[in-house]
Amino acid sequence: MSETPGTTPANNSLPLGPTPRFLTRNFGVPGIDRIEVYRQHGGYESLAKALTQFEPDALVEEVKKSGLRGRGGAGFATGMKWGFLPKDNPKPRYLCVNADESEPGTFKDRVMIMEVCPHLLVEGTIISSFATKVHHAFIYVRGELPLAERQMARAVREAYDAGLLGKNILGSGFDLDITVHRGAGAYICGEESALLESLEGKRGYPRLKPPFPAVVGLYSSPTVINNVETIATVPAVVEHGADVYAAYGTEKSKGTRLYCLSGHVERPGNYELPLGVPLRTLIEDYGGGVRGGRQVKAVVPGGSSTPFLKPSQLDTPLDYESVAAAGSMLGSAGVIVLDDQTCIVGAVLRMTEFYRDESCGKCTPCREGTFWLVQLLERLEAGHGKESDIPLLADICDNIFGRSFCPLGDAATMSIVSSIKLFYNEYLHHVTAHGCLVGPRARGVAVGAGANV
Amino acid sequence: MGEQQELVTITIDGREVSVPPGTLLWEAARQLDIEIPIYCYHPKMDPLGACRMCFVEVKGMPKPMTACTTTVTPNMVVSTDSPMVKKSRRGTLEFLLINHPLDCPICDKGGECDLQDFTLRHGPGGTRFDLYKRHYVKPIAVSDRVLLDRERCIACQRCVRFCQDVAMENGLVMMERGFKTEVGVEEDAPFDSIFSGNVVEMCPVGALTAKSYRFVTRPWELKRTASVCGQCSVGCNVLVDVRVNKVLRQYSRTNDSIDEGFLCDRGRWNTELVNSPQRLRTPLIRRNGALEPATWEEALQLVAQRLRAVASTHGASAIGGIGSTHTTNEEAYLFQKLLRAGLGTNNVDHFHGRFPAMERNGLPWVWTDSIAGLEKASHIVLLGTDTYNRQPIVDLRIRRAIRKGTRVYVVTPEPSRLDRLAAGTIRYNEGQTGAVSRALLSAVLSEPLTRGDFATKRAASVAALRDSLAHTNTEALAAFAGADATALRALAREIAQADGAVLLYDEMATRESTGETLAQDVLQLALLTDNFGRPGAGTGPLMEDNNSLGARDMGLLPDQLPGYRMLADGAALAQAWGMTLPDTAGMDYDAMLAGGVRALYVMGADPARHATPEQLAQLEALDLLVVQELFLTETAKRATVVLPAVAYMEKDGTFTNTERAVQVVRRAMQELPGARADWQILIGVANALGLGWRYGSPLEVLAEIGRLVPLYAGISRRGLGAEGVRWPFSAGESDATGKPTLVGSPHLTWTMVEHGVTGNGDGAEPALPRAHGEQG
Amino acid sequence: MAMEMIKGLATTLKELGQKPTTVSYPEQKRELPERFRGRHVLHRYEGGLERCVGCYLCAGACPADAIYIEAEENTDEHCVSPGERYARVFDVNLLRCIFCGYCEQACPTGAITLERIYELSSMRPDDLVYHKEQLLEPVNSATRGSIEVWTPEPPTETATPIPARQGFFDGLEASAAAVGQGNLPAEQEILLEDAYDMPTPADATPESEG
Repeated sequence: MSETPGTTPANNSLPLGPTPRFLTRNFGVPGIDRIEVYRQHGGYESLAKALTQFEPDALVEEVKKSGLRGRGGAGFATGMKWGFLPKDNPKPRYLCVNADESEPGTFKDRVMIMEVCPHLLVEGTIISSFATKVHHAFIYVRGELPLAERQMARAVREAYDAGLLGKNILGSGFDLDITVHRGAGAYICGEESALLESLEGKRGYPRLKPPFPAVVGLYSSPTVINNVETIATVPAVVEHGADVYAAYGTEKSKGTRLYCLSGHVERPGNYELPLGVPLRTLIEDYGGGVRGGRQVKAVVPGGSSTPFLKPSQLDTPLDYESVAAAGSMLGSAGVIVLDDQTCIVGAVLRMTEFYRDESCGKCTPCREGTFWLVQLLERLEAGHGKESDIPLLADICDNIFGRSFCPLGDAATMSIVSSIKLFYNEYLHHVTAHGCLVGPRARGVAVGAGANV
Repeated sequence: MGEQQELVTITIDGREVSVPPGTLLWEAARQLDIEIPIYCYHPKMDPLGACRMCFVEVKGMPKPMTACTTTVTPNMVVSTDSPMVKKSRRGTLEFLLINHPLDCPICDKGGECDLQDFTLRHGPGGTRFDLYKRHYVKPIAVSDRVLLDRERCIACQRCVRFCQDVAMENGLVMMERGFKTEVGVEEDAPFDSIFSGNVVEMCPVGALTAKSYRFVTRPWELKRTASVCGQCSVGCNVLVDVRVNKVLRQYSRTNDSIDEGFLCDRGRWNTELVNSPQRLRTPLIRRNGALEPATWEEALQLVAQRLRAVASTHGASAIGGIGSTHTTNEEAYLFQKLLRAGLGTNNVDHFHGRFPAMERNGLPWVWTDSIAGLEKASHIVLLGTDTYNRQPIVDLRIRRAIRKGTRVYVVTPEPSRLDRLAAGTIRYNEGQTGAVSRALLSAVLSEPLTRGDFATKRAASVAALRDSLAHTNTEALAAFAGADATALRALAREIAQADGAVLLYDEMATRESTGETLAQDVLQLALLTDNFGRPGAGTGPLMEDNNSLGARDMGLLPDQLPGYRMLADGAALAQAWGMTLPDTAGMDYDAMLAGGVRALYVMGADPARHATPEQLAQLEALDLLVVQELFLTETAKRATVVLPAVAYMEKDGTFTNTERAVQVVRRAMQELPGARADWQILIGVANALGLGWRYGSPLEVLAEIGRLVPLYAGISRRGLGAEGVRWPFSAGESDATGKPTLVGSPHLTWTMVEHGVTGNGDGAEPALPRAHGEQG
Repeated sequence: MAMEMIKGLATTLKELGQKPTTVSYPEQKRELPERFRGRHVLHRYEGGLERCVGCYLCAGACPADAIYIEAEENTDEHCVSPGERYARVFDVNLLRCIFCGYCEQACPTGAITLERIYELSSMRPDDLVYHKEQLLEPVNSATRGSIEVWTPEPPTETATPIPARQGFFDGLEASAAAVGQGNLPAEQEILLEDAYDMPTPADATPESEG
């Protein structure tokens, strides 16, 4: 299981050392996915603390104070999101845990939390539900993750048996039911409103916003939707206190994240590190450097929906603001490293094929645009493209970006636009030399694959 | 209502417009006649925002906004032709066209296709797509009536949303995802809705096309006449699309108070009536026992001569006339005038439900509310009526009401399509609608559940009624009808507590064995539970045919003159017509068929179809049977003279639909050669009888109706306008162009019914509505 | 007076040796201008299928309302034209026709052209309403007609199919592809089943450079 090797300069002023393990503390403990083992290692103590020492509103304040931001991609402040729930709506409230982790290059929720330590998520869900006064929570697990779903279902069952779910949890008078739902396998269902549609039994189409889910969400009721990692962080915030948590990370991006390092590195895997850790540290110190001693060609810092970073930007600190300043997004912190033997056109084609196949088909730009982009990229990659195809690609992306119904369309254009900007010559080479700079028909890199720890 | 909302003023392309808050930008722009192209949005459905066509630029927004999902906010500044908007629209159209086949020359939609139109007006001049389009097998049948060409589909989901949200029936669904998205039908949920044609009309491209319309014409070849559908009593507004004297389809012409722009498949595609090769093309005269072709002159002279002969040997009362529920008001009026004034008999009737004339002043039994009012009702009770098959567009409005939260109770002998959506269903034995409604009335009286001013003011009458019904309690009646008494009582309680209940029954249910008192019982039920006289509350029959109500209005009744005047009040009419009118009530439909007359004049009816063997024998034993018809019906086969008539698409006139809306019917095509419109035939017969009628057109007949029939006083074709007027109406102010207008009544109050409608109420002390001759 | 006669005779004498401007029709026929427009001809494809798809565009374009069409659907058993639709009835009323040639301009398939047939006369007006059978060229003698005179050359670039790459469509492709662009067979399995094996343009057009 995940270690945190390497050397980080010690900083003794931090309460839990330089690399605290809020999420990964118990990883590697045999049988941690069973409730007995989990409880032996301090599990559900945060829950007890939350239920006995906090009022729900105080908990929300605590989370606000901790600076915890959504780990799904957008990075919206969690405490503030909880605060958006209307106070006087007579309808029931719901909490949905977005475990539809499908972003290429991201595998933190599946591996580190749901498969290995499902009780952490259950505990987080109970605390979050208590804070938001929810009495029915849903965990929407991606369809392609059968093991994660089985683990979650068993953990929830165990929690019910232990009296941690159901009526009157731990004698606090708080009731909560958790339903684990496995989706049918659609990237779009990671979009919060499409997730709600899917959960209601409809086609996974994103909804018109406003109204936002906090007001009209699941079954037209106020709904909180949070990423798995966000929810799983809540117990640590409760356990250590908001101040301890907020001591890590940067000014605006506080705490730690699970970084999913994949691609051409020696040691791909999940690493829990404070926000703001430089990209180079992650790749070289933790990831063991680029595979085979080659050079970095490009890095995708936050899953395939984020623009590329150049090798010269390797010192960018991995926090929301710094990555944004570097022209990309931290997103889901799925760091994909591409080495110099990678055909960028091929890699971009591979990513775009993903978006073409995962587009829900609701809106025109995304449905038809990705179809067109893939055909153009295929032509370019195979060496039959025209020079005019490159500006055409950029213009199609311009027609998709900001015009599609949900962010999926925008996401599909990120790698193309940034790669044309950064690697125009490589595209041009495909046109003029009818082949690839890095070898004959190098069909990209296996994005996000084989990165299991 | 009456409360004025604060209007929001916004600027679109430099022009200001004030609209109510919550208005969509698209609607606001439309008020300024600024076109914003749309595909997925449809004014009658919730916005979806999927097609990304309706982009506009809103000042202060970095991205283009979709006009179909953005509501107005004060001082919004919108541009619909900025470079960003133009580029976005061109981009979307280019995307839509990359997988759209260039089928335009052979596509049935070509010429009325939004994709063509908007590409021309907003699209790029050419495409940059030089790769491979997605291909599918060409049209697949998604139903018996509709074909789907998936290549042409732009996935706007209008059809899917119509099936799910408006029709609320099984139907089209989205399948697959991404670029493979297609529309389809689930295997176990066939697309057999009677509303299926609407998806063809709604489809902004040629993906959904009609089987019956396939390749028959191109839109620019059509002559399109704004008219009214004559297939059922709803009277949906249509465009009759004709090419070379052949009706190819009817297309919706939105009238929000009736059809909301939707049509049923029968109205849309049933053109057999007029296109059939079986139509009669020449008058027929019976010679030596067989019907033989004859000239019009021969036929008309023969009719006149034989009518005179019967009158002179047997007297005028031996002549009877059965009018039509299909012909126009003008023709119905002329028909009864011919019988009454020309031949001197009150033996005039038509095939209708049992609505006994009310005491004193012959009040009409009509739907006192309107179709649009259904949406305001909290409860709708359907008694013995299958709206899905008989009045489909009323059914569609009921479905809209259900979506808004109205509770619908389906009380019918047979299961209906509405059952699935209804709040409750009650089944009973065939033919017992009258017993069921009386059981409801009995429950209201016995509990008692009466409420409201009407019941309080008539406490004595109500008590008398309760006593008279004491021996037939709800349980006994329910057992007799085979219905669940508990459910009926529960329903009666719901009706009595409703904010507004609409109680509808089928006109023909009154002809059932227990139906005699049905109309009266339901009216009393509505009045005594205070479900009357306001929008979303009322009662009435759903009429059988397109002009069933018009036929009654025009006096095709043995005991009432046009406008429901009693015979005794006929002096004015007699004076205007210049002759004395018979003052005794004539024979009704059944009496005439039972052998009461020697000569029978039938216009646009087929009594032989409903006739018993005895009645058939009587029909054959008549001295003279004149039939005006389109086809050689069972009655026409037994006729002495058959006069070929034309369908409603071939003549001018007015229809009165089931909710009292008088609407203009326009001639959409030339008459079938050899056939004549019924009004022309009637004038021909009248003049052969020497009556000297001088009507040049239905307009002149309508003018006479406006002068002589109080219920239709002041009616004019221009006053009826494009969307018709509900009677009773009064003259409104002329519009800007000097065109007269009529102000109708969306709903009737009891005061109006008692005193206003027919203009001859006597203002006596309040009583319960009661039929003629009924005791106690 | 005499002067005038001499003048006139001089003209006669001058013209005496010249070639006559009249021709002795019908034994002799006059040469027609390059773009002469005579009677309509409906064309076929090499295989015998009719070009006309019954789209009514010629009838719509006709300023004299001389064309009347009734379209019908092709079936597997009775396939008259490529694609879904053909003209069951195609009448040209040559008494109304003004030979403007708008119909051939409007035709999306190059089915109708005005040819150099000008011998149009009859004792009965009815005869001058030409029906489809009279207008069609015989099977196995497909031409493109006079439209070739002015149709622009097809674009030289053939590496990738582009819209309207030819003045007419060649009728070899079925259905949607027929009237438009794209040259894939209908219901392309690969596109539907496995998008990853979609052929690149190079695979589909072998004549292009590899």
